[in-house]
Amino acid sequence: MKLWSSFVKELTIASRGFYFYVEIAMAAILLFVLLFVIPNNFDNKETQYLYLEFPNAQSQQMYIESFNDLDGKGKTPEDPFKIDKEEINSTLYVTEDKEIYVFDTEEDMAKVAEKKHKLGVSIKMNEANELNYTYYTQGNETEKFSNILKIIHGPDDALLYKELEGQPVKTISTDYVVLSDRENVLPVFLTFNGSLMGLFIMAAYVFLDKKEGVIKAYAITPSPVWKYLLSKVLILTVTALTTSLILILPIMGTRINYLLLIVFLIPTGFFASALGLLIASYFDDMVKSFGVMYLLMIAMMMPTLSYFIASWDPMWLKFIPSYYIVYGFKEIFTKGDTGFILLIALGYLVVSSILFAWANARYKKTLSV
Amino acid sequence: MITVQNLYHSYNKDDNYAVKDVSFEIPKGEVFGFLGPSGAGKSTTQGILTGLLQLQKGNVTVAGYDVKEIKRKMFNQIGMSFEQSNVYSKMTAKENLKFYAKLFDVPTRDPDELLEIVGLEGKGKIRAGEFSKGMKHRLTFARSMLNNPELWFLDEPTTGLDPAIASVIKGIVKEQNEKGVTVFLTTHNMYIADELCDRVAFIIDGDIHLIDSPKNLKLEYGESKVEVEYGDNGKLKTETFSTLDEKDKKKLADIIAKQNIQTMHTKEATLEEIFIKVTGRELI
Ligand SMILES: Nc1ncnc2c1ncn2[C@@H]1O[C@H](COP(=O)(O)OP(=O)(O)OP(=O)(O)O)[C@@H](O)[C@H]1O
Ligand SMILES: [Mg+2]
Repeated sequence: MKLWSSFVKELTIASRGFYFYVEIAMAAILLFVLLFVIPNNFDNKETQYLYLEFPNAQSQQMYIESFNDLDGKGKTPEDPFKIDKEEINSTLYVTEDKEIYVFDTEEDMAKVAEKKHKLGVSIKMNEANELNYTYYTQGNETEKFSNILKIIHGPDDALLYKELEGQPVKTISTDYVVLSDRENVLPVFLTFNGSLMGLFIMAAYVFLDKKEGVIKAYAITPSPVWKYLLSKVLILTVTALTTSLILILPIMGTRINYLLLIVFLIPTGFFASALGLLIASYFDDMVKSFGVMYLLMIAMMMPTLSYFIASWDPMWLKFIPSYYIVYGFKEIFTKGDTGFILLIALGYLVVSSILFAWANARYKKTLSV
Repeated sequence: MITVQNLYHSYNKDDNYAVKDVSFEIPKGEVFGFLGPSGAGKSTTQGILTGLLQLQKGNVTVAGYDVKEIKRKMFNQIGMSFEQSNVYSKMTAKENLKFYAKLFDVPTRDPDELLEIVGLEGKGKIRAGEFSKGMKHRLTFARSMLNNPELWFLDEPTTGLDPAIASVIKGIVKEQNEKGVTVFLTTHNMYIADELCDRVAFIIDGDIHLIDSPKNLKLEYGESKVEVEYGDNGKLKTETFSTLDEKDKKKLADIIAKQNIQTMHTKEATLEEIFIKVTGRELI
């Protein structure tokens, strides 16, 4: 009851303050960046540029229909290619995993392939019903790749396909979800939003209270100081949840397990705010705490670097708490290992509780008159 | 209501004591004044009694509770008005009181009534951040009465208030005391102490010099005097005479007999003068 009153009071104060809106605005900015600056790349179908030259329309049509899982008839692309302001005609065929553009002339195909830096293929059928392939490469492909192109349609392709079939390839997880670029950035933004903002805003709230001396007034009521502190943690966890959902909902839609997400968001939000509480207990105001806060924020951002640079993953990075937050989010979005996610959540709950108890002891000890 | 035995407190946990070897007792229903110059250790002592500062050395009981292990329950019986007002500036005056009231387990007073008592009627809906210093101070004072405390700590309750409001506050303290509330009053305003306190303690540099009632102190240390204003050959003169000193008594009788007296007052020693006399220190 006292905790609830304290929580409502914190909510009242937060909603009349400046930082609450800073957090919401921050989430809105991050969402804007995600939606309009980072390309979705969601549509990760392979693109192919083709030029077809068949003796008659019928055989060309038959060839096209032989594409696997062809999705309806060919259509004019919504967004036609343009080179030097000149529109280039093409017909788009969509299959389950490919977008195939068929051009009217070999020259058009070559131009577009060059501009888009994609592989172009010209396929011609001679009188003897033999197919002739010409590949338009960019010149920066590896030799291996070029060689494969050379042999792929060689006289012995039956042998090649046989070899391929004999080569076992195992996919590790069948329901592993590949994230688009935009989705891939989301864990980093969430870590920034939830953890770093949480830390900073908690400190801001505490310093405001320190300035006003209200904690002293609280300390001489029958309500224990930890309830006062916990009400602050709760308000920050709620804001972290809200702002995280502002970011996640429009991007991930209904594709993820929200229950699991919330189970993960609560302890990580708790962690950031408990850390903020503890740090704020050592300083009188924001300015004095700035050095430490700044260092901490930089440290907490390090794991997100490793997240982008996959080859850079030194051991010491794993000791920075935000490491597991970033990767935890990724696991959730890729429908990864639930046990792993729950383990991280539990870990944060334990660590945060310790930090909170420590902060509580600090606040009780550092009360003044 | 309060017993303090051999209390010591050092902020840096060294030999530099802010309070040293302080002992006193306050019976139920008394107004006890803690008087001393700035930095004497008044707020420190009060902080220990209210559990804000940790008890380091000595024995202290407050409202029947040993301060060594404070029970949260104890705070239902205690009220405290802080030297520096501390209210949520983002909440209105009434919201401040309403929130605070919810933290107690005992029946609390009506916020509107309290605001009226301290002269803030009609200001309930204004955010405390927009209050003047004196208004904030009154709000802090009003808040300390929310839980009908039996034991009331007042740290400089009238400092910075204009005389009219200060006298209202004085009236409230008197009224509460008549209802049986024990008051621990910290101040360096001797007039207030004189008017309100049953007993006062003089504290300097963490040391209590004496504890007695203002009346006894005046009897013991005060010398009553008479101030006479008279016309001497057309010039107005003012002189003060002791009513005890034989020479002064003769001189005074002489003036009364021969001069044209304009005004004549008896002057009682003030608590301030006694303080200076006893401690050799000013009350600043
Ligand atoms: N938080 C603190 N840390 C260190 N020393 C302190 C602290 N608070 C007070 N002191 C010191 O303890 C001594 C007593 O201070 P205290 O605040 O109790 O005085 P006071 O009698 O209430 O003075 P005032 O009339 O100015 O309120 C002073 O020497 C002061 O410098
Ligand atoms: Mg003081």
